[in-house]
Amino acid sequence: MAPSLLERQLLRTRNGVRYYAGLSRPPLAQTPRDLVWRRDTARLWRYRSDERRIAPPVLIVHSLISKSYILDLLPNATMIGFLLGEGFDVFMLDWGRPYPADAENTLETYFEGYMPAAVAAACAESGADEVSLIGYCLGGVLALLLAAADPEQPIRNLITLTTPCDFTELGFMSQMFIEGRLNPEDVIDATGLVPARVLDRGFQSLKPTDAIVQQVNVWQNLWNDQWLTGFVAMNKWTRDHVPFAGAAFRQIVETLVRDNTLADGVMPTKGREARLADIRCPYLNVFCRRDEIVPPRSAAPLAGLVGSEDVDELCLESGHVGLVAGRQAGKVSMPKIAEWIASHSERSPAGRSGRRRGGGQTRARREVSGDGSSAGDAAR
Amino acid sequence: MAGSSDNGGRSSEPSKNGKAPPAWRAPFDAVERPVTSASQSWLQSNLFMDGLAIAWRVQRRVNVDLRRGLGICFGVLNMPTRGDVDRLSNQLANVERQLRELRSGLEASEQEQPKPQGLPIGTAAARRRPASRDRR
Repeated sequence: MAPSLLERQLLRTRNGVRYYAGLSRPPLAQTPRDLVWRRDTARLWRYRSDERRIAPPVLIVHSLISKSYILDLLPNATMIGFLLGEGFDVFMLDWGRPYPADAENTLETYFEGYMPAAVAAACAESGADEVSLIGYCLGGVLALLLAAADPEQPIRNLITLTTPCDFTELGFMSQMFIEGRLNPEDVIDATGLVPARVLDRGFQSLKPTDAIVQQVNVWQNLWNDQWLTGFVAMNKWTRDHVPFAGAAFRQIVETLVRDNTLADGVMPTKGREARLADIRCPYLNVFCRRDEIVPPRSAAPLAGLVGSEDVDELCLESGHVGLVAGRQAGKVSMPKIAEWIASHSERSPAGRSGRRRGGGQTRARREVSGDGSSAGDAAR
Repeated sequence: MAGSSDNGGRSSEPSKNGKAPPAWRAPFDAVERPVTSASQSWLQSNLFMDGLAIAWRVQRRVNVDLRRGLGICFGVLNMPTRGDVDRLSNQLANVERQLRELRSGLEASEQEQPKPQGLPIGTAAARRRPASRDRR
């Protein structure tokens, strides 16, 4: 039952004191997990579950410029919790906070160095031969590059969530670099990193009135405990950036933004090219209509660039963050994504997953039973 | 990427319990929406981006000069400067990078050697540690 006007004012006063005094701090990332593998600042986590019914395991690769707790924000807004509930065995590759020692990391450091080792660790831990690889935002670029640069990687399915492809469509931030208004060196500090506050300022600039609108929303919903908890958690995350490795940033600006190579399906790496056409595993491209960071016109071309015969795309009515942590995430977005992955996986009766497959060429052409591509079809 | 929060969309939409937004919200939205739209268009304009780039470079240049000036003053007083801290930080970073290279070289050579019988380190069965929640 909705509170009366008086009750609402009392709640508003109580919550207002907590909020403005900074005492409203919801506990974040509560899903229990174990550290499986680590190298430098990279960590591979496995989330605990007694309900692992679907094989192969899911490995989520997080973005390089934000903290991974967005994927497990609150108990009622957790992508990871949802996937666990659906019977997936969930791993997450978290890049952590880069230090000056990471300043010389290039994209190859991540997708040729850390990621194959993390995939192998996930396989060893779960007993599976393959993983379903999910990349969120820039993590999606890394996942694509891994799959493209080394088609022998044991990747059963590849899923990219709000992943940029055409970097000229990223709007304000890419435009600042495309025409040379700014150079990477202008934002890289003396330790070789792009400071987190620079990224924060850039993202806040995307919607200049957001700070005012947020305060008005707070005032309107201050009485609502659930709303306020979600808001505080999300707001903490949106301002909680991590620095970016300078060498990787330079590479992104020069190759992906200025040359826009990924829009042509190619990424020059050390000594050779990673071609998206070499990706042969089933692929799902998820992007969001209301995404102001990676607009649909930036993400949509990916489906046409990968070489897989089994390609689906899913355009959701959501925002960049709302896809994984918003109110509708657990009701609309995640069920559709989970349905696609499940239809491209196998159900095991109970317990640990990981059916052995023969041969090195594990391209995993599964026989889809039922309406496996319904998620993608529905979006088309 | 993070960015402006999109948690829940516009609050002028009916709330979960079906309640209509308060009366004061409509005039706010009526003003805010065109202002936001105009500001986003302005943000994408060449004039704004050129101005921002110039302001950014000027600010950076001023910071560098200011730091250099302060560094000279601190040097006279025999105190460490930000530049000293950065240099030290970079030297430590170099050492860390060398350690990482050594570590990965060691790991590679370990992998080349035949594995002893038993469970590989890091598997669930080998670990068997008591369940403890992850603390950040």
